[in-house]
Amino acid sequence: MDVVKTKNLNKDFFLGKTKIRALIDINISVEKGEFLAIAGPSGSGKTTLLNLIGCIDLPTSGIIRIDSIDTNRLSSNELANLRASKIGFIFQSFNLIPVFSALENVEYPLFKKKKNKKERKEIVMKALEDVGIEKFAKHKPDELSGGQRQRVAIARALVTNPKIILADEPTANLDQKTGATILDIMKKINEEHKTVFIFSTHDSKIMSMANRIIRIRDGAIISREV
Amino acid sequence: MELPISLRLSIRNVFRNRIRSFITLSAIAFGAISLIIAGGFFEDSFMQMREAYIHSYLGHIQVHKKGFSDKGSAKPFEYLIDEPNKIITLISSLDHVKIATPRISFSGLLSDGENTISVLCQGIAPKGEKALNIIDETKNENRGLGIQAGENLSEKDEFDLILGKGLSKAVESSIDNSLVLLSNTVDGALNAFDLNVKGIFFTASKEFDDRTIRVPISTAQKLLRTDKVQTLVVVLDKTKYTTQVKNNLLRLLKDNKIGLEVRTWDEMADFYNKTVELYGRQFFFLKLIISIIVVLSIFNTINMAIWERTREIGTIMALGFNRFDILKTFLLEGFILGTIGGIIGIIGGIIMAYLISIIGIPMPPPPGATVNWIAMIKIVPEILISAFIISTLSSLISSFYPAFKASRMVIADALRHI
Repeated sequence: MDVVKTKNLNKDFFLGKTKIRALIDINISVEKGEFLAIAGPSGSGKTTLLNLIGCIDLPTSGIIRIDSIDTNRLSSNELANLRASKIGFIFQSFNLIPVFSALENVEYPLFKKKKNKKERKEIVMKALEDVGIEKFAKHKPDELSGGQRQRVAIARALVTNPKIILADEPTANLDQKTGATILDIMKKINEEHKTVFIFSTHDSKIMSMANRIIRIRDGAIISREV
Repeated sequence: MELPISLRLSIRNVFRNRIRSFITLSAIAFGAISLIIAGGFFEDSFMQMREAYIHSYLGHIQVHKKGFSDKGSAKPFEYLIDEPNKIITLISSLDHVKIATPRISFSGLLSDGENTISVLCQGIAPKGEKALNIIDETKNENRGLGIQAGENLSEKDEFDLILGKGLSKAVESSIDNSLVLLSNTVDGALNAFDLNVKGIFFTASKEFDDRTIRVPISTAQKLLRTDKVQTLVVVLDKTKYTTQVKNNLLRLLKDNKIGLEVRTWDEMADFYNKTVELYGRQFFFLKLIISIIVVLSIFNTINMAIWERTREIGTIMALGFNRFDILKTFLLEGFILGTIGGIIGIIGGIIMAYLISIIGIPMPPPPGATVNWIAMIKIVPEILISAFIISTLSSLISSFYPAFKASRMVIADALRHI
């Protein structure tokens, strides 16, 4: 069964009165356990596609199904619940909450899950251990290196045990070595938990690790590589 | 105990930009301090004015024969109280009554041989009036009725009078001068006494000082040829018991089948009531202005915070938190700022009020009065509470629009924000 499916997905933006077609008739299906790279040059529409799959933006037309749920039919609150339960995000700039420690950043999404303090603590420590950052649990983001921050972001994405993790250029702000380590962690999680990873990237390392690459240009899919 | 996560997030965000939070808290605290100082100043002024009116001549309660308040000014001698001593004994039996003292007021002509002037004459019991004139509730040394020159009337005086300050200037009279007081008796005949000027008094009311003389009540009764009195002035230990004592007195009079009317000081102090209303309205506008300052300062702070944290808001919503969670977070921040600012304001206000009151603010005579006075800042719990409520409520209200705006953001746009 497809974890993500899009049908005739279109997204238009308006720049003044000029219509810009950011995505044109995108049809993709992503199965459980996939490590998928969406590749393309800057402005090709890969982040827009990721945003639509992540239910943080609305399509102009077309259908998105997440775990067989038609997201077009959901209210804003239902979309929030869907994100909380099924989707994790990893951002290029890590997007950690600066006033929270690493532990609190990872713990934060669990408050939507109504877990008690003890349960939360256990899950968070496990997630921090999975990404090898448990020693820095009490550190604030500004006390961590880029690689450490991205590990915290991965732990935060992982902590709710989502079906899909969307990673928007996760290695773009990291040096090559750190980027490789981060990717190894994500690949390991993908293999162990069968969590779907969808990347928007132009990092060749990610593309080499992906089991499928969808290439986009000017909002349209130009190739699908396995 | 663990704080809820939204509260933890809001508290930490409040202290994230310390300088900005400090400026905002200062604005809120300044607003609260201003309210406390202004409110305390007005309260003290009202209290001093009220006590001056009460202790100079009104008393806390006045008892008259029924109908006096409607027709007494036209026909004063038709509304005289029989057996005043019996009623004084009854009134004195009530709790919180310090003294009940008789008075008889009438108009007369005062002459020094060359000039004759129309005056309001009060026959008073010197001992009772002395008790009335002592103000327990203000720290000012001024008494309700002060003596500018000479001496006040005493129990042993008979053909003596004291003159209001303004009136003494009008008749060009000084201490130990002899003046003639001419009046109608209760039966309508003319009667006159030679009276010796024993003192010159002043009160809070210029109008009163400009046209009033006081003589011992026994002298007034002799002049008017009556043994009755017109008014019983009741003095209480505390002004706050006025209504309670009035109700008890009405019950007591009813039980004893005595038909008298009872009026409290606030029913008679028209000028005071209007002044309080006027200044009360001014204070309301001051509150409004301060609330607007607080609203604008918090609005700016929260708006800036939202602009700076746009990407963070996008992230939080991407993690599955809904619009209400975002609204709640920013409203909480506004509420926390308002609460902290309000608390600082109350503490600062109390300290400032205390310091100002140690020194005191020298004030000119109020309209219609003749004496300078020292204003202080009265710390009133109601004003402290209202300053705190205004701080927190204004903060909450001003946070609402920016918080609402933040909660309506398109997540993808918020995440793109630089």
